[in-house]
Amino acid sequence: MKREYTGNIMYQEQLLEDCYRMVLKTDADLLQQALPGQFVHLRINPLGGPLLRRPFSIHSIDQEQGTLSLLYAVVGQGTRIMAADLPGKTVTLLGPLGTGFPHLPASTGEVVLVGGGLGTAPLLHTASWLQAAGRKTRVILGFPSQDRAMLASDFTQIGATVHITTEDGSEGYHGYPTSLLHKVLLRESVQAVFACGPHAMLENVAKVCGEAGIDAWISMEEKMACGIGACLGCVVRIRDEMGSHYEKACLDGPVFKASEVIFDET
Amino acid sequence: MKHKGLQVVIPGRREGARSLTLDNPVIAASGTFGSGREYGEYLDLNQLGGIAVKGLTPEPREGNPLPRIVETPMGMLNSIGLQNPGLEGFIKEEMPFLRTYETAVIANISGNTVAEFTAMATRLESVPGIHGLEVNVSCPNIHRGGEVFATNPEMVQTITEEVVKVTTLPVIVKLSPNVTDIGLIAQSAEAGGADAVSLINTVLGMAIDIKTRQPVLKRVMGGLSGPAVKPIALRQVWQVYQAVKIPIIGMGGIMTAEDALEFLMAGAAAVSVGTGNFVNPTACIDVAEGINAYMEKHGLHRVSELTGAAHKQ
Repeated sequence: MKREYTGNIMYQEQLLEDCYRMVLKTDADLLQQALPGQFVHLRINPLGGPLLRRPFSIHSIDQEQGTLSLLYAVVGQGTRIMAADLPGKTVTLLGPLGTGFPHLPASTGEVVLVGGGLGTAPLLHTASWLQAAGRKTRVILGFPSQDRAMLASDFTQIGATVHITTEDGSEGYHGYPTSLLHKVLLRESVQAVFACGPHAMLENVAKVCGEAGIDAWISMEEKMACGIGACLGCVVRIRDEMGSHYEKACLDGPVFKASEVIFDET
Repeated sequence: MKHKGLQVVIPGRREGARSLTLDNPVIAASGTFGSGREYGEYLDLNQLGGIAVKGLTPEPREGNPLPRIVETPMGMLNSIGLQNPGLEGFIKEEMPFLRTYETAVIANISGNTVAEFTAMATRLESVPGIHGLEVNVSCPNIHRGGEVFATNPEMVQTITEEVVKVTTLPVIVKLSPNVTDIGLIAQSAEAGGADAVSLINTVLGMAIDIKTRQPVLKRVMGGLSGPAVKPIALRQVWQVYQAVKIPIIGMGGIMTAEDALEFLMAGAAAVSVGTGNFVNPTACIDVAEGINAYMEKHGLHRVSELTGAAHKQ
């Protein structure tokens, strides 16, 4: 039987003015099951509001310490409360939930991870997983400018090749992460692309990879209530032979094959 | 949770009608629990009083475009749009699963015409494992310019009369709170032959995104649920208890046993947990256990001793 876990806030790191990393001590059960691209559904204030849980990608896992981390930006009531939370507070978690990035067949080609801003969240755990499996991992992290760039060292530490892109050229490659991805796909032997970020970026990842004939999987962010497939609040439109149908971002996703997602409604 | 004291029986009123027996007074509310599969991973479905399955329509429905949900102060708005596999899809895909449990299964049916309601009731009459019908009258009537059935006492009575004619299953009419006098509508359901009423459905509301200056929900308006609606729901259960003799299934923002006890005391014979499931996947069982603990603490033998307690001075 699945159950709710408790998480104890160990510490928080402020990465940017409005962006934090929260480290939670939680049950080994949850940590051992967590696959790349899956999420936890957090009840921030078990004794009060906000009412609904909040889904967060699993950012990293430390089995030895018994912790997982979440990456978040302060965007509303829930994340404002989180940013003010102090070590020692207890939250509750459901998870790991959802369908994450696929297990790829053995290949000498590299796996390219593309993250836009906070969309980098699930990619660190994913990169660790790929590195542990001996896969060559390249990471492209896109930010508006140098003062919004973060996390590059976390990826280099685990042995991934990292590129930063900025829209204003203040650091790294000048342009969008998808235009650098396009160049990488032309030059390198790439098996697959995994991406997470704003919907406009994911739509471009789908386009660039489609043109290059490279398989891509993208992690979609949608508003969720239950997080387990019952409420039907978080659907994503998926292409099929008959046209299209809705799938659930919380259960069938959040990771979908990029070529199957229809972006009209997102 | 089951023992004699927790059992709730809703008797069939018509000759030859079946009654609905719930092992305990807590039902998972329609639209919040799917067909139980997802929550069945977090709790033993046999421990529930009943499951009101996700609203069914004659044909499959894709549901509304996104955004479909938005959180509001201690509540949420939804406009899912009755996404469901259609009646036949449900019978084929979900009933074999639900039949493996002993818990009472209540089919929630929605139609846009009286004929659609009766056709679904007729079909469900012969489906093994269905224990009751919940008639969702909060739908637009396409023969009357989209007027919502639930707001019109004559329409509520007509639908109820026509549905009870074609089924021996217990018929529960689910009432909308978006009316001037809910007691009057409940009387129409009772006069039409309903075995029980359930209330409240969601409260019509909306939210606006001040960045885009547009409504948040694609379909503009949605149904408000969660603790924010509890006082409204409780007041309407109170009013309906004074208006009719048939049993009431009370719901609206129930998160805890304390909330559920208030509904029982306002006049409900049983309760439903809806949005509470999203927050706490074992909410239904936690509420049932809490009611049981309250009964033990206060030496109560039957849950019915609590029904309407607040009306007695």
